[in-house]
Amino acid sequence: MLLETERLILRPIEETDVPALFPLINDADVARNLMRVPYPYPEEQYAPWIRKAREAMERKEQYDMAVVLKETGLPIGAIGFHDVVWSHMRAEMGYWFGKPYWGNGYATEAAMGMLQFGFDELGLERIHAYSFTRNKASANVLRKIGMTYEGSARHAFRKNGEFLDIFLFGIIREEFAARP
Amino acid sequence: MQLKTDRLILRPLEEKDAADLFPVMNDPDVTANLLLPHPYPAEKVSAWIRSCHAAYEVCERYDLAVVRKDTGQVIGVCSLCKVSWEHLSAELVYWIGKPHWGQGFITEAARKVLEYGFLELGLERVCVGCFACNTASRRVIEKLGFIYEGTARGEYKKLGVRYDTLHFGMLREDITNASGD
Repeated sequence: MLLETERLILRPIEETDVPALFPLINDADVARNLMRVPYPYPEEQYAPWIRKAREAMERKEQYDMAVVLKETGLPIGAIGFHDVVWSHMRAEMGYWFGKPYWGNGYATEAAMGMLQFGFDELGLERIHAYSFTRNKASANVLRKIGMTYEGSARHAFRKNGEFLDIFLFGIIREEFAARP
Repeated sequence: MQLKTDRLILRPLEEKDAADLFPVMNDPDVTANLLLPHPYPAEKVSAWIRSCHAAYEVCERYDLAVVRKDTGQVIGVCSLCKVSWEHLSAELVYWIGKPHWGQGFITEAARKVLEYGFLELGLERVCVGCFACNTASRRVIEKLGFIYEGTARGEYKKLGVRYDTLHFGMLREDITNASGD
């Protein structure tokens, strides 16, 4: 499986991505916005996580892709569908990018690629995403790819002892098909 | 554990409750609003109760039988599910037999369960959801003092039909408002 956008390649994450991705994910400013990523990230846990993600992909339970910059051939982050619920034909999308690559529209470009894959290839009917309300950049990405703000769950997540509010964004198949 | 209200007793589900609950779990008017499969096979009710009990033992779920004091009948279930000790959160779920609708039993049971969740378990947040078309449940949720937090469009699919889900939340700091009436 390989997805291509103008500047990016999205392909299943591999254990060989650890040397390129680990320094990027083990970053306080990156982890601050993520639900599933601790900081500091114990290095010995990253390869096993990738292995588990690959197994989950074989079971079609999640789809974790490395995002590779065409220009350099280097992975710059990751994007995926988690919590794929086939009985309800929906999935949750999540992503992160290394700090040196922020502000170039890569998240928007990769996320558009994933929406296309989710709706057109997987046949999903709804894709949603969460972001901490303090993460304005991610909310912007979700709006830019055509997701609708659906609500905010107050104090729904505790990170480092602090209760955080979460934005919920979603897009349904018909909206994606009708995109400009 | 046992909770008491004016008209109800709430206590962990037991296998003998299957006899009272089976007809409720197979009433299409009840299951129309739930994610339960329909029909619900009789032999699976006991297995489901056993799984609830196992989850109760490890503090992952609190599934309480709603028992009428006057008749001793188990009329439904009121639960705290998806309990996360990491995030101090849980989801409220309830359902009750049709003959007992419209008499405030759900509100009475849920109010007590919320009090238990916030004050005894020390939760920070309880969420609850209902299909957008389920106006009766929405009324109960609002009466309990939940705050509307959003609508997830097409979140569930049942028999080929997509349903929008309303999401509500209550924080520990909200419960003082809820118990004011």
